[in-house]
Amino acid sequence: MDTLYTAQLIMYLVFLFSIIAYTTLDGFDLGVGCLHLFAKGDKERRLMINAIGPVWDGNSTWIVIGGGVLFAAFPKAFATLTPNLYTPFMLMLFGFMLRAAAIEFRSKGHEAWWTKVWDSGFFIASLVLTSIVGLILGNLIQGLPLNAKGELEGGLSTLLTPYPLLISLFGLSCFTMHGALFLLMKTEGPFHDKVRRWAHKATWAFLSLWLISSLATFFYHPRMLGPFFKHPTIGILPLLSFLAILSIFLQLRKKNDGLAFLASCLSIFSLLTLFAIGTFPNIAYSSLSPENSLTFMNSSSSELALWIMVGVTLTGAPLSFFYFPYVYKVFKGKVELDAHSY
Amino acid sequence: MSVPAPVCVPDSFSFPHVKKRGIGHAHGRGHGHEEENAFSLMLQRILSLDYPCPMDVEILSRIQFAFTITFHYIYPPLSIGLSIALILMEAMYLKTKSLLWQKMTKFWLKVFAMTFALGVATGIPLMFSLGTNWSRYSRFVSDVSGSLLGAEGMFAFLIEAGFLGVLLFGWKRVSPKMHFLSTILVSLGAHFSAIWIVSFNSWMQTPAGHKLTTLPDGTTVAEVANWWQVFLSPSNLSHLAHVLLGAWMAGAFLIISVAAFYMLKKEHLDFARRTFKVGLLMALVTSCLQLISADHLARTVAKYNPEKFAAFEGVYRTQTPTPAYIIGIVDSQNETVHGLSIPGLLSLMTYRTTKTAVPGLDQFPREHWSPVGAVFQLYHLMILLWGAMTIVALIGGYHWWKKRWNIRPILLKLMVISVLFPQLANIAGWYSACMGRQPYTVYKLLKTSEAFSPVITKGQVIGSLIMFVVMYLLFFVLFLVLLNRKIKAGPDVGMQDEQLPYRPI
Repeated sequence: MDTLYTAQLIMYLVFLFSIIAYTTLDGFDLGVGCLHLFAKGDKERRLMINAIGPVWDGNSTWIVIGGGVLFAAFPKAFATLTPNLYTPFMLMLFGFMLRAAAIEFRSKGHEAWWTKVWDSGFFIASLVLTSIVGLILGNLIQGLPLNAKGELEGGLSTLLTPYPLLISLFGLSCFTMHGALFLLMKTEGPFHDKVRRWAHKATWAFLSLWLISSLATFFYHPRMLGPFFKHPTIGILPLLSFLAILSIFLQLRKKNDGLAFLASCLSIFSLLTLFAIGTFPNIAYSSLSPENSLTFMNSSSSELALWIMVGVTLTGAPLSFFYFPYVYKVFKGKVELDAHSY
Repeated sequence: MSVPAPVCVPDSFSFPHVKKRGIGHAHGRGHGHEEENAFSLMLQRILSLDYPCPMDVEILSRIQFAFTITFHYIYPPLSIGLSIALILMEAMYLKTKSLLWQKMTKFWLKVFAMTFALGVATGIPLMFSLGTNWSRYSRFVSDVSGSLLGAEGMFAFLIEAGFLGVLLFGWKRVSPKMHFLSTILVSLGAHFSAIWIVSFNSWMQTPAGHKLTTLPDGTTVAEVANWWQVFLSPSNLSHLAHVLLGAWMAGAFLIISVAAFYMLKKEHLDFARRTFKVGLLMALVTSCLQLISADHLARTVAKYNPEKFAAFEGVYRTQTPTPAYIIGIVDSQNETVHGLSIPGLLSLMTYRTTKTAVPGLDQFPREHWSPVGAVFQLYHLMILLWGAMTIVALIGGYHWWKKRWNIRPILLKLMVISVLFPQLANIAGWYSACMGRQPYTVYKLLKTSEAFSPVITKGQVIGSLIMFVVMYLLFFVLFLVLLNRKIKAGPDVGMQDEQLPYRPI
């Protein structure tokens, strides 16, 4: 393996890691947002927001890291994907800003209309953001109609085909379940029981959509399965993924809330790992012609630039492995509302 | 930036069928029919996002970037500046255990939290817009300076994001020392952000350490040759000092302004006086240091970006010694500046001698000139605002020194509005630096007209521009309303219920 390829591969793994970290971590606070309007009354809604209060900002940082890594290490992919997916990206940014505004400003007023506006804002923004994340991932599996000039043939409407929409829906059910399981750990009393009912419904939705999406992928995009047939040793990964998904269900029934959430984290992690293996080595597969695909090899920076990024990552990232667990430890336990809460 | 008036003149060539109907109207056909068509036409236009508008993708993207970054840059300087004040206040609290210091820390922490959250919320779209609207630019610079942006994520964002939660919500959950450490780490993160982003920008002003390469797909990009030269590009350290001092001034004058407001209202006087001293201390130190930093930066610009420097100072004609304009009006028709000038001062400031001439714009080809009038005014506005800030700081310092706390209301009112000075100066400074670099996005390497995304349409940018204007103005209005409410409520609100802010050790 030559050194250029090694550097490309390391940075691609870093990119994938930040995307997986984003979906696993921001996934639950987006999910809490998607459930927000189902909570009734100010106290329940405040509990929801405060459950994610200290961590949502840090969680969403991972998408910025992912974007930064794509910009620095795979400039061709960044410069092709972002303008071609202009409208979805702008909707994502809109969702991101609206969510930040809602969390920050909701608690700053006490009039009924004020809280109502921000509650809806928080809900809609989370919904938009979640749907777009799923839609983009679905399109990356299906392949984008990228021509040789790096433009989308047929424009943006080509993104809204049944398969990506299905994946978008699947993502929505997944994050909603993830958020509900997170809330289970953070709540107590009657509200906890209510969350448990949500968690059950969301888990059922997730399981059925998982089955449908898996079958759809199997029949319409068998390309995703290629690597597993080629290297039977990694064939164990889909099995582990299945076990993780199954254990969400089992742990939820046994009321082991912590373990259920952990299983949900593992499921998301494993599903995205399967995604990464299935699309390897493409960052964006071209459905028109494989030569137009953007792979992590043909869209990378120069070797020196890549090694610099490896250096930056190796110095910066280990620090975060030390303090992210610390922050989660400080804020573990049930949410209590006090003067500093949102 | 020569922005055409933002008026959308309807031109019908994109809708040929409309013309026919128009002629029909002239021949006196039914009116109801016409209105129906006008309505369906309007609907069609809205849906197709194909607006007849004289502005193209380049100028719309420039307006969008300028708008978003202007309304972003209100917040980060405040959080950088306030974070320094917070370290001072919390250190004093830990040392003296005085409840007043604690009250100050908590009050400013709330304000800091707001500026920080808004800085993040308005900042993230900027990074993505490098790709969405400026894909050819991002393709050109990624290899060289992508690692600087990556480093901002790895070193700054992760630290800030991790410890901000502890800082804001951890009062009862961690020990006092750990809380203080979080304050320092968040402040460090904010400063790291500035370090990386300024080095990113400085490379665009004074590129170094790169080589130009043509890739197999025919794109020419800058590739990194020597990372240290890229990171420490010639203007980087001068820019960084200037930007950080500007940020500390933004924090200092917000503190002064709020303290002066309470003194004017004769409320919370203990709080106001001690807060005032913290703000003044920062303002006095930074105003002096800014003079040294500005001198250094101006001479760096004169050395590396002479066209920009000539535009800053309105030097059309090269002459020995070169005069400096204090204020003036640029007459771009006759290529001269009318105003108050001091003979030989510019030569003296730039080269420390009156014997050398500052190269005028006549030494450079016209296509390398930036919009001189605007650049000149913005640059001079920044300097005049520095003067105003220094005067405010000196007035405050005099009263502090004399321990004369019955400051005259007119002076207090001046101090209340002084919060605007550093904000306007920061914006004016960035505008002059980046407009002065035009027609280039990356000095001498990449023109702005070759930097924007080729695949996006006008309609898309108009749509996103409207979205950004609505969101950023909403953020700004809410920021003002909430800050105002927080100030009016005073430092005592939200304090009574917590005599023990930290977890007992």
